[in-house]
Amino acid sequence: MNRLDRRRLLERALEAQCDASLSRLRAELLMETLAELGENKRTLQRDHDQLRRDAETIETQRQQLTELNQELELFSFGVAHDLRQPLVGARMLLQALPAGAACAAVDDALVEALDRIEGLLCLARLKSREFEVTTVDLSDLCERLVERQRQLSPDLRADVTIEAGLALRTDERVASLLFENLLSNAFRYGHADGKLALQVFSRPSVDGLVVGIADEGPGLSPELARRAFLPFHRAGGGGGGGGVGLGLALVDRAARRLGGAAWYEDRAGGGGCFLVRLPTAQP
Amino acid sequence: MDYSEAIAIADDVHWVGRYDPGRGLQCNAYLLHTQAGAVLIDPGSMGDFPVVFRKVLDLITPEDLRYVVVAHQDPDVVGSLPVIAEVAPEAEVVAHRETARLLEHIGLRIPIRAVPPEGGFLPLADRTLEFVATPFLHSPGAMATWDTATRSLFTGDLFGAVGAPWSLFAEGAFESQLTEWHEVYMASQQALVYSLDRLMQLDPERVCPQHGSVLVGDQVARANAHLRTLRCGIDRLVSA
Repeated sequence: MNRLDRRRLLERALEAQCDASLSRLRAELLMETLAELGENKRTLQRDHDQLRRDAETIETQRQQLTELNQELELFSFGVAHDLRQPLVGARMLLQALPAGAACAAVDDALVEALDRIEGLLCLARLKSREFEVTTVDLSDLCERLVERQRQLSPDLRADVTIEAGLALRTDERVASLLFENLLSNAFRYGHADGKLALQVFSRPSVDGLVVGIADEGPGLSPELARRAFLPFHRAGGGGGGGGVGLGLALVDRAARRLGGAAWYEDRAGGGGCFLVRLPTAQP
Repeated sequence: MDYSEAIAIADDVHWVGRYDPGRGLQCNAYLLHTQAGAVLIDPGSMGDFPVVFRKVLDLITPEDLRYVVVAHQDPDVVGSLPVIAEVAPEAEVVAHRETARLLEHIGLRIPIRAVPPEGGFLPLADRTLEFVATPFLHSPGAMATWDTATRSLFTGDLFGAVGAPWSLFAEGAFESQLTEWHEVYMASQQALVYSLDRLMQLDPERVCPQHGSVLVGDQVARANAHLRTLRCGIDRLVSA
């Protein structure tokens, strides 16, 4: 073997050694990567198992909360029902006492407590009531309800416009409760400077109606609008207007009971607008 | 009309779609500006994204985008959703429940609000969006979006059209392009009539489809009358 051949042989050996080293390096890298992937897979599996356990826990808690909620509703119905009678009795006894500021204040407090109880009983009854579907003249219903509100607020200058011909097949008692509370809310909170400008109007909706009650009052802030339909949140933010904070919760519950929904929009040009979507009841 | 820019089609409503003269199927996206944030309707494909989002950003900042409403889950409608989810993390996707079920497979980083089959509402401070299911037109979970403030009905593939020439607002005899699209993509005449009956109760002032042209005024009634007569989808299957 001459010198050139030895050199070529050495070069080939060197190349082979390099190739072997590279292959070893690649293999080591591959093993490391596989080990990392394996670890990642185990971590993911652990996370996945944990998530599944969390989901099962949440579902169990949801069921427990649903049951607890039903119990609480029954309890509140029972308490409200049992409290009403002694409070009515207390009011009657109060009338036997000599009239005075203190008596009037106690009577006001009793009336508010009875209003709250009535609201709670209404909320509870809505769930269990069976429907009686008829064609309800909503325009006429609103006219009658507005008249009642006018009598309750004789000092308010109320300019009310009601769209004619609003009619829908639905349950009249639930619809009546719904609009009574919507209009009562408007008369309590929708006025400015002793003047109420109210519009009852409709918008087309698929297989039903959207009815709106718009006022030119102060309207609701986004925060109040978000919570307006929750029980014990007053649409007026708690200031003025009276009310026990159940009216819009009743509206929401009644709308859902009828298969619809209730929500709030700002009125274009200022003021507020409460809307309900009521589907036509199927025969 | 300069289609390279966003175009106002109603009060606080812009067309932000992409017009590509090289293709027969144009994609319309719409942006609604409300006091509760902006709403993007049918954002379009990945290929449409640069054009659509440039127009969106000419009108709002990404943080202003609160809702992305999608009529169904096809790539020409939702292809750009993963990127939108990255650049507009405050946004929430709104889709029919059957569409939301499929969108979950994309793995979006933003929440998906599922609209039940009986429909739903999205109050937005100064207006409300109503969602109406349009089953099998053409997807089982297809839905239309009704803007109460402008009486605009966003219909996704329904009222869509294909072919050239194209204009943002329908012109002349537009019915043949409606036919070409609906005969192929809509499930059946029965499905069409069912949803048209319900949607026409809304008496829309304009119809804004994801493909084709915006229909205004009596064009809506013309399109409705035309579509009701079409045999499409499975109606056209003929056994050997």
